[in-house]
Amino acid sequence: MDPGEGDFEAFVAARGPRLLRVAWLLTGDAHLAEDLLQSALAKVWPKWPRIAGDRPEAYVRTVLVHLHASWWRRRWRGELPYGEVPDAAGTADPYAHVDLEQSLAAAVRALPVRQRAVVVLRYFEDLSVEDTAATLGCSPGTVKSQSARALSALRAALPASVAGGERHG
Amino acid sequence: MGEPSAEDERELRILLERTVPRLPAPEGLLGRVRERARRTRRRRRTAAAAAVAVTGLAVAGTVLPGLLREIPEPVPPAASASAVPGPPALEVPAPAGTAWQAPRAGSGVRFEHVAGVTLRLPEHWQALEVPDDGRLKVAARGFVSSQRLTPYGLPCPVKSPKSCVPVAALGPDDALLTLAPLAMDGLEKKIEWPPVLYGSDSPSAACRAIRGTREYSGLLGGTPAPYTAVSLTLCVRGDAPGTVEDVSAMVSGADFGKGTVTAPTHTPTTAEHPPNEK
Repeated sequence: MDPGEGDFEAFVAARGPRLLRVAWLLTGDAHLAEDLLQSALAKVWPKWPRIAGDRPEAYVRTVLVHLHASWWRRRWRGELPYGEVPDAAGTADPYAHVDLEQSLAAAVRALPVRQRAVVVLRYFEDLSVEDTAATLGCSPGTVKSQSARALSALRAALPASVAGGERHG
Repeated sequence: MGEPSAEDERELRILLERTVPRLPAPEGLLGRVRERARRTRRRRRTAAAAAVAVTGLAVAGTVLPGLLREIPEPVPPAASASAVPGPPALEVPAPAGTAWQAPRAGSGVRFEHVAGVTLRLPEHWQALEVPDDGRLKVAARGFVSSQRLTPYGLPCPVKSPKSCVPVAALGPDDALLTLAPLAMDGLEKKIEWPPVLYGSDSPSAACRAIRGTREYSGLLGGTPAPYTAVSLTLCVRGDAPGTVEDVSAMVSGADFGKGTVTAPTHTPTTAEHPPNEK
């Protein structure tokens, strides 16, 4: 067993599910999300003894986001951009949650890759502007402007039923 | 554009938390992570070995001529004449006074000076080889490309990698594979089968000089003595979809004339691999 492997296993068990959701939000696809997380963890594992004691989750998150950006650049993601966001169903629809999930996934996926990362880090992972900037390697001002653009795009893309009543959970 | 309101941000957080699915934990995740990390480690070692080998060969060709002289001429496969009867050479223009040669072509394209390797080229690809010129200005090399190959300027100065390949600039999605015979101890341990091409987003100066944006390297084993491997360096411009797969398939089917090359059953070479067309 490599040094620190027990800790690594514990980390994956504890934080893996959350990181998988982050990966899903970045990729919009369960299989790609799994592959992305696997790739990120494979990059982290050999360095684990060095990073285990110093905010390992932040490190893994950074690898995840940058790896996704590099996939995007190389177009290895094999996904096609949605021409338009699928219709969201009304709240009475028994599949409303599924539709909402699809609408949100499509709307987030339609964002430019940097804005998508900002949304994931700031609004799903709940990082501060400064931590988001550090993760992405950009300035806090860039994070703020990208956040504003992303929110505006999401507001325009998500159907009224979601943007209105549904959003108030 | 103004900053988003706190209320908008709060609503988005809630929406994301509610809608992002809680995916089941992937089975065997840790095992796959470990395997992937080990594979990456192996790739890096092999890529490093290939890079060292190629650099060593280049240095030997310029600084230590005696070393290269000790590498015997490649032994032509005994079965080549009968296995590939009367193969016509590819009609690649070779300027007078240069040592450029078109590899012999049969059911595959044979590189006499690159450990005698025979490759089956992807459709419309071209091949060219240059032998060791005996004056050690040029080490033996084989070239395979998806675009037109134009021999020029031999012997080429090693310090100017751009002039050492028969391509001035790769077109979008084009690729150039360079093959070089190696005779160095210790390479056997680094060779994988089937050969693996390890990619890098930081191409070498030689690759960048022909507008390559990504470079792959690997080692091809199974060479006849005295060679220990053939180094493979693939320079690609752009995404070149399917190119790496095509080249991987091509080198996986490499043959060193040990009796597995079959006689052509149809007129090959120039029809399959037109020399002057892309």
